[in-house]
Amino acid sequence: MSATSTLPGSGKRLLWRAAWRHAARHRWQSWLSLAGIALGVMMVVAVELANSSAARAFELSVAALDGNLTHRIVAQQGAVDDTVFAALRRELGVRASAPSLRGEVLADGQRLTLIGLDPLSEAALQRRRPGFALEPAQLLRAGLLALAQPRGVLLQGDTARALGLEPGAVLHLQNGPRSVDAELAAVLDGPDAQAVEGLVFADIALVQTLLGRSGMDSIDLRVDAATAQRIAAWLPPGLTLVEAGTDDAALVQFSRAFRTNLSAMSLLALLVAALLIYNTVSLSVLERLPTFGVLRALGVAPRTLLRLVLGESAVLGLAASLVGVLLGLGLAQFLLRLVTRTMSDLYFTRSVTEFAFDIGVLNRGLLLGVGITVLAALLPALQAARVAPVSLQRQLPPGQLSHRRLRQLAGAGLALLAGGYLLLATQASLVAGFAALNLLIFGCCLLIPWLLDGALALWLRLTLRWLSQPLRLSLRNLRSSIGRSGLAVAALAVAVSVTVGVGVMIGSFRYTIEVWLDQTLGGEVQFTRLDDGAGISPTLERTVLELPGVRATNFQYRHTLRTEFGEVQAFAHRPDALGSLYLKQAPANALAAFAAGEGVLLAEPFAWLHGLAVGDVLRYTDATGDARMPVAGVYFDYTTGPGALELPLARFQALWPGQGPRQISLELTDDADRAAVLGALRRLAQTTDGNFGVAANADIEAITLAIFDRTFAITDVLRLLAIGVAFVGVLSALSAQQLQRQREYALLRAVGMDSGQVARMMLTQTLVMGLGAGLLALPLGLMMSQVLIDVINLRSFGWSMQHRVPLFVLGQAVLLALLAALLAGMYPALRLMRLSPALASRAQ
Amino acid sequence: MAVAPQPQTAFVNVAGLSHDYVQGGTRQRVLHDLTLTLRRGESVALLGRSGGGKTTLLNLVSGIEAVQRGEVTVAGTRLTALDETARTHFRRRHIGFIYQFFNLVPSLTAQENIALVLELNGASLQAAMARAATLLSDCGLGERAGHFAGELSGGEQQRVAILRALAHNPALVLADEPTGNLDAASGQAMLALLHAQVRAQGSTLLLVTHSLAVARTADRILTLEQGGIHERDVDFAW
Repeated sequence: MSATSTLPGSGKRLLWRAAWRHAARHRWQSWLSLAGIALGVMMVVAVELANSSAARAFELSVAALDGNLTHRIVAQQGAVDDTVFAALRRELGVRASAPSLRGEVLADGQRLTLIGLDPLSEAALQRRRPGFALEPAQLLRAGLLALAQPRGVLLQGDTARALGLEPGAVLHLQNGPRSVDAELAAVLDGPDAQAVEGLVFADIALVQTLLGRSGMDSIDLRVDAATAQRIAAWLPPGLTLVEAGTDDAALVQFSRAFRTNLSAMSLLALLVAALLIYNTVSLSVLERLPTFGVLRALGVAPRTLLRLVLGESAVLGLAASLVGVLLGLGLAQFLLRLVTRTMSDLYFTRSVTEFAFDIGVLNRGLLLGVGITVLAALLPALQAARVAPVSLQRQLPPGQLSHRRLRQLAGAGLALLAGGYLLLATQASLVAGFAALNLLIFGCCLLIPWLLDGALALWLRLTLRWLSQPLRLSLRNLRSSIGRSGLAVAALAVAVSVTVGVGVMIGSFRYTIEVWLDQTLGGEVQFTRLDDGAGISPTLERTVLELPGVRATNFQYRHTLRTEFGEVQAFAHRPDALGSLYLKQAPANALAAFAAGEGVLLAEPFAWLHGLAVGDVLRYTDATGDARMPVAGVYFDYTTGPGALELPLARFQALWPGQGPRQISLELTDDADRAAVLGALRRLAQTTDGNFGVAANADIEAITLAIFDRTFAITDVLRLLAIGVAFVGVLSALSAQQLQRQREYALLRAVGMDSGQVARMMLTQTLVMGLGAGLLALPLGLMMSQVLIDVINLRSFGWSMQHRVPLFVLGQAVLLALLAALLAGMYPALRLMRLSPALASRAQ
Repeated sequence: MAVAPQPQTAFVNVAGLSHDYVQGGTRQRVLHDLTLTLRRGESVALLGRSGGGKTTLLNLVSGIEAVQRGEVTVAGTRLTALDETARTHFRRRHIGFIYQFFNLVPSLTAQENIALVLELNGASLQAAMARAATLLSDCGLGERAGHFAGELSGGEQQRVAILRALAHNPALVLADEPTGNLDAASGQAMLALLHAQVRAQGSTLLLVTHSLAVARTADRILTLEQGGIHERDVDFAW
């Protein structure tokens, strides 16, 4: 007989059967694991699906306006003259070109974006806009020729239906005192037609009439590099050739950053789920350690046990991930509305809510769910594989970690924390910022069992003589199962810390916005020109200022400026900018130069996006060609868009002579009848040629903050779900402890403790766990908020924020942790109350 | 694997075996230069006080624990020369274990517990289950085949444990206090079954016990005292 000559076959069906039965017998545990993983996967899938749908909507929105262009000819000031377009075709023979003019109109009370185009040129340009048929021949047939009808317009199907219109119906378009009764020539229902929702396409002549403008915004081109060079050389003075898409770069970057933030949040939920999985799998392994010891004695190899536990986890992970993916599909539809609404508030005026089904996201969700589950199960599986047969006699009770192991975990946690802070200190990318955040959180998770153990030991030592026996037992039980309860506390603490971190970040952001609004909105009422006209005329300005009870405090000028980084909004103020800007970085000498008419102040996001700081030079285009301005300072700005900067008024007026102010900030005198003044201003706005608006500062603040709150509504949903996952974790840990100490509790009942006392013991433990989680969540959450404010949001959006810790967020977090733990403890406590004392006397 | 009875052949040979445990930072020697020989087909009882090293000796002879000093040879195979994996495979094929607390796998039925070792040794599930059913019927437990461990009495559990230990015809059977958790009648029945099965298969039995009465059912009695083995007469007083 030889020891190793012929190794037996490895049929392990009975081992699998045993594993399956164990899971079936511990149904609650299996269901909780399944719920934890499914919730985590659901969040990731839902956020990813909503994000990818929103991203597609974003791309389509950009495409809806511009299509597949390569270049555009734009004017450095004003519009591109009609003659340039004719000359371009005649002299250079560039057929792939088309004029474009855009503006806002009201259609039956609804604000729509009006796009003016030339149907025949569009056919030659072969521009591919979503919603339009793709083939040039179809393009001609399907829609654009319809525009050749007098006053014919095109609308997307849903928009037309929302307005109750069918082809042939009359659509009343209004722009200030100008109006046109157009005819709906055709409805756009081609591929991705959803992207052109809210757009009205019309012949450029009709648009010019309605907007009261001549010329065009741009000549859109689809040309190769050589032709582009030829055009650039040919262009008359005052016109520039720009690459298409440069103006969208900032929007693309912002929207991507927003989606990255959401993804990171969903991954945090998965991290919480991973802790739960670790907890439940390790519990399952710990319960079976004696059995594994027997199996090892019977000749089952360690790697067989490793595979068994990992295999079980993979099956569980797969089943739960499938459920999670299905739930995620449902949640995604809901989240998509929030995401697109947010992106719409932040980045563009229309919201596209078409759900884009992406099988890749579902596959990634499945892989992530199974992967995380197997990864979380790796440590318990290794523990199972390391079970020596002799451990039958010398194992620690399930859930108990040796002090050495606790210290090792805490050491590893400290190392991760140090690594996270080092990574943050490198000023690295957004992804590195998130990696650092995860290191910090995971490090804290490893530290928490050790901290909790120390706190309990200290509590017991200091107060032992005053503690009742049941309370002593509660605390000791908690300590003896620190391996499991510590992790449950860590899971809950992480979930609650997300609430603290995000809550503090949002609170700080909101506070910053309020301060910024106070600083930048002068006066009490704003009278604003909303369309792209030449501003408020001197006559209108006089009329406004002659109204009784009105005094002007500020005049804001605005015009589009073409810079080396694309188009930005250039602002100027009268009497001067410095009083109405919320300055971030502005050395005295640079400001003095700005006050003397030299230099430019940049909005923080624009400066951040292009890496500009005080002393740098910004290149831009003026009537004479390329020009330069030194950067004199940076001011806080929380508007969104391609970018903004502030020019000295003299420079602004030199660039755009005759351009009136776009906004007048008005202060009302003490004796003014506010309602009467506002009414008079509104009547003036309605009866004047152009599109004007009147808004009280209080209304602007209220609307801004309402939009702000709406923007972050999605984070509330994600935070609640993360807490849901952690709740499952606490319930799992407590139920396990209740199950394992059943005989001990039965003994206590047998010696005279009533069912209420036993239940109170369990609830005491849950409250201690909840309190621990709530308190530990505070520093963890504050650390998270610091990273979110100073690293993640700054690198995502270029927005600096003031740190502000709303105390209610901290109190709410502790209460939330207590409540979650208390709720999770109810069921195990109820089960304990029904426990029979007879169990104590039964054989094992 | 059936091994024909050959009582005179040395089957287990332990020489110069020493073993230490570190407990609470203190090194404690439980076996000291121990020598032991078991012949093929004989049954040997090992008496000793609690904590005296009996279980450790079983663990070393079965390859569960690695030998620190000395030599352990079982059926011509030097366990000291084998790594953990090889020892596991050796144990799976050649050794049967019986414990005081039965240690049946709780999520398997009585029949499946027995079939498990056969399946681990390469039998198909169907063949393993059929063989387990036969073994259970032969010892009067046929009707309990589909019951889980928790549904069996202590005596029934131990009988299933014996059948599991012997199902794959191991050459060496190690029993650690097999009657320690049973009443006197169940204990006697269990011992009768154990000896009958071991003799029928020609296996060597090393039986660890506290009970002199149990020890006297074996061919030879050894005591483990102060880390060493002492041969005793069957009528010695303990």
